[in-house]
Amino acid sequence: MNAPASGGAPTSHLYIHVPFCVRKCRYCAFYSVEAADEGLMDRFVTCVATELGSRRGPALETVYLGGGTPSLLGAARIARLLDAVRERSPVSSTCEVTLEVNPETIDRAGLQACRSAGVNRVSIGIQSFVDSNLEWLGRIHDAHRGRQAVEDSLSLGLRTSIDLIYGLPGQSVRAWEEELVNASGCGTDHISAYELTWEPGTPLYRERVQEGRATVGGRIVRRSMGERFFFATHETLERLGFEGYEVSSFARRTQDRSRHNLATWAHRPYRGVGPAAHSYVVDGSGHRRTWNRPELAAWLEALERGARPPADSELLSPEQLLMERVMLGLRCREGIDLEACRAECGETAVERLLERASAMCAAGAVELRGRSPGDRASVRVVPTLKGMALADRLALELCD
Amino acid sequence: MERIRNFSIIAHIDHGKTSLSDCILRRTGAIPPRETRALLLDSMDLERERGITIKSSAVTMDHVGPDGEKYLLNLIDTPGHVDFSYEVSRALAGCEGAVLVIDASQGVQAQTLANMYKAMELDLEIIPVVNKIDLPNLDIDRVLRQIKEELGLDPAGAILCSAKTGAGIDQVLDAIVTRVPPPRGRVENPLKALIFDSHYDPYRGAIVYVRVVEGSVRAGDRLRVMSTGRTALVEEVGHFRLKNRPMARISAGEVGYIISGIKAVGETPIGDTITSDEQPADGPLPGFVEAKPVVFSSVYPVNTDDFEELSDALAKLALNDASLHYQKESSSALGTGYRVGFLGLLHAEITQERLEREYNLSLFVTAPSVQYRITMKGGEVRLIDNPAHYPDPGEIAGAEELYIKASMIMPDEYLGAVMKLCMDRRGTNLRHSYVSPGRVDLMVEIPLAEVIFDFYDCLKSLTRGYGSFDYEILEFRPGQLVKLDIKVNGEAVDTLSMLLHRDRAEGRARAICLKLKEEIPRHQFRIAIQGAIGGKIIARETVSAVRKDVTAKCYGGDITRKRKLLEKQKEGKKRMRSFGQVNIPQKAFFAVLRRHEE
Ligand SMILES: Nc1nc2c(ncn2[C@@H]2O[C@H](COP(=O)(O)OP(=O)(O)O)[C@@H](O)[C@H]2O)c(=O)[nH]1
Ligand code: SF4
Repeated sequence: MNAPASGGAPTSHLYIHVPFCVRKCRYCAFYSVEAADEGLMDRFVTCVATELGSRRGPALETVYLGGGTPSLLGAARIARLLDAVRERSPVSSTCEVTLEVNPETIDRAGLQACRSAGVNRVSIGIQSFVDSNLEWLGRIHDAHRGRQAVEDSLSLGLRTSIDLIYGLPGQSVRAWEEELVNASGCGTDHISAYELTWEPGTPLYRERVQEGRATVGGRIVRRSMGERFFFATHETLERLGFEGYEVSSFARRTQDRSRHNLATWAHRPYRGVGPAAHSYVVDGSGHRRTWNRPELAAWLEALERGARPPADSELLSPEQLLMERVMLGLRCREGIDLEACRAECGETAVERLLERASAMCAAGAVELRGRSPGDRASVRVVPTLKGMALADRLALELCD
Repeated sequence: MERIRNFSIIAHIDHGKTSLSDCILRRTGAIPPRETRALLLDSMDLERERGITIKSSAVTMDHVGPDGEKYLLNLIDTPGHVDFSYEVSRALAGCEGAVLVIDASQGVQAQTLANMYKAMELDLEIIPVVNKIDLPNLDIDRVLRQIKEELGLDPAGAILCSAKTGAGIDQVLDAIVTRVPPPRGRVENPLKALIFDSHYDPYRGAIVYVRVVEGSVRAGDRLRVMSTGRTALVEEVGHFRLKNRPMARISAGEVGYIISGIKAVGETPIGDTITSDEQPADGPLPGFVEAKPVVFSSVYPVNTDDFEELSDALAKLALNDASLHYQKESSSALGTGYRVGFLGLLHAEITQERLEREYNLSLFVTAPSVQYRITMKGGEVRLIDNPAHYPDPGEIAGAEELYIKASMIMPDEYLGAVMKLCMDRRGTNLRHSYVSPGRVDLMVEIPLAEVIFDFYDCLKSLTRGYGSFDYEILEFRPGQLVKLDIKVNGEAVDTLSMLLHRDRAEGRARAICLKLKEEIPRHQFRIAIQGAIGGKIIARETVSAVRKDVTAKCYGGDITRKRKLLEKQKEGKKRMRSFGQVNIPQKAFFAVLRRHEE
């Protein structure tokens, strides 16, 4: 399926996928290519501008430069990208502009230049504060470099988030809790803590799943302890003053939350540009998800000849919309917005959902919260931590 | 009548019965040279695939004998599996002679003997025929010696032939004319016609295959089925040619068909006698036994909406299969279905396949069970094949189970292993005798319940495929019967309950609990799986609770993939049956109840 004319749908959230990395990490399934030269990166920036189109859009609330390794572009190209964005849509000082950063690819001066270009939030791919873990993951940086990047970012007054991975073979829950203490200690105001997943297409997956090896990268793989890690993460970070506002996202204060991610989880439309970028478009034709194919060359080629990049899309049925809202809502402390569900999927579907949710309350998996007691219209289905951990099956039960 | 010969061809499987029939039919011009056997004998797909004949049929041929006279040869085909041993004997009862086919390269085998004994009991003239003599490196003398020593027949009377090349076929035909005696019986007597088969035709109703023993029958007569007294107007009689050929009448000594007002084949049971309503015979022909199912399974449509279709299909099958007995039942796990009785395992399997293939149904068939005879304290006797009908054990005075007499022929080196298998399966009265040097026939009395699962498979693997198996039903004997319940979180899953011997209960319970543990996905709570006899728990497993299943990441780019995964799981959930709070995937029932699983 080819994407219909989606270019101009007005959204206030923009995602730009930067598909370059110095070297692929062993666990990573994001789309990116290695060893990009200057010329290729220049072409990429130009093409992003082309894909953004010439239509003027509404003021942006969030811009997110993700990847890949956006910091690899260098401050000058990042500035060009953000200029291109501003040419089309107003970007106010309250707009959240996030840059994903690999500690090895940027220094304080670079960060400072990015800040001048408009970046106000940095998400640093730390992954671990233990060198042997970083090596096992195939990261290019070491723990020292990681700490340095956090310090630089904080000292420049940038909102700072770090990514961490848990559940590595050989990692104990206790060692992980220590890392969390380290993370908190370095002053970051946001942590994204993920369980390691064995994604198809990655070297880890090949060794573990396809080749069925018992030892991967010199470490023995045991039965997953994801459950214990998950609860330990939430409990430890809470103790350290973070709120787990999503399955893997933790913020010190409400204003430290990632507004960009919250928007996607709240099912708000967003626009994605760059190869492999996804968009969620709501317009006269309905609710659509579209995604550019993960092919840099084809993407460049199309845009350079003035054509639309190859993409696929799907139109969501009311049931699918509900399923998405429920599955995303149960991942977040904010829960499921029933008012929005009602508008999109109809009263009966919501009533049924509410009935099932009430049954779950007894089991302590969710709570029903209204703006005021007895106000049924504003009720949200909010997961407890227990419910959040079971979000997948609860979503199935609610949408049955 | 002097020029009629009624005969059958009997053989161990694969020795060439079908090929030889074909060859004879072609030689006599009964079927044109290019037609295949699919046209006449062995006409069902399933039969051909399995290489067995399910139902007997018959065909009439013209043949000029060595004396230059024209003869009418009636070939009555017999089914070739132990499940149909009664049908075989009824088909043979319609004949005066039998051609006993022996593969030149294999020699005498278990079924060679079993079939010959059946033919001998009925006093048939037996013509041994050594087939496949075109094969290289044969030791024909050895086969002839076996004919003398193991069958007790005169090897001088054996005919060597090849159904492949046609060599020796004329000699076979001549021997049928000269050695098989002509039928006896008197046309003037009241009608006695032996039913040896019948099939259902959607336009004509039951087409009944008979051997007229006494008297004659013509269209317009009123017939009576002797066991039931059912009467009907005869619409057509005739001979079996390439197609049915109507005749004015069929008389004593002849083989033919009768079409009457009777629709379902169940009303013309095999072995029964048809007589004239106006001038009835004084009594029926000997040997009639009502076909009784010995193996029972429950059959449910996988998709509960298909129940009506299953009902229809069973009704249609029963029109053509007198031995198919079924009764509606319902299960909380599987919905509404039927309890079906079969003559044996093969019959059960074939029926399932026909339902699935010919009626396009997707079915769930429970493990087969046998029937138990239960005597209540009040003296009442009940036959029970369904655990759901098992009475309160306190009310039971005694239980009995059906025994069979099994006969297994094998090279003697395997005797020890097979004897052990029989003992493990509660076999008693083991006896063995040498049928020839190096080959023994092991006879054992053993509960039917012990052989319906995987006994035959075990036998084959123990004897590397050289062991044959044949059985006949003996009688009910006392047995220690218990009802095993499988409970999931305290609630009994009715479909998984079973009746079995006390000694088997624990092992089976353990195996089932373990299987269920593998098949039931983790829930938000712990699931206890238990095997229980009455209130006593004899096996237990636990499925631990899942506390987390959410995936770590779900960014904009992951949403579509994630939703599709959930949609797929939702689809999968439809195929779950919920028990109390526990969702059991349907495939768990399959895994637990599947045949050949112990
Ligand atoms: N070489 C040879 N093969 C034969 C002969 N008769 C039958 N066969 C083969 O033996 C196998 C079994 O024959 P079939 O007639 O189906 O045996 P049935 O099971 O007794 O009906 C088939 O593969 C036949 O082709 C024969 O005279 N010579
Ligand atoms: S984890 Fe980040 S740096 Fe590593 S390959 Fe993936 S996108 Fe690139």
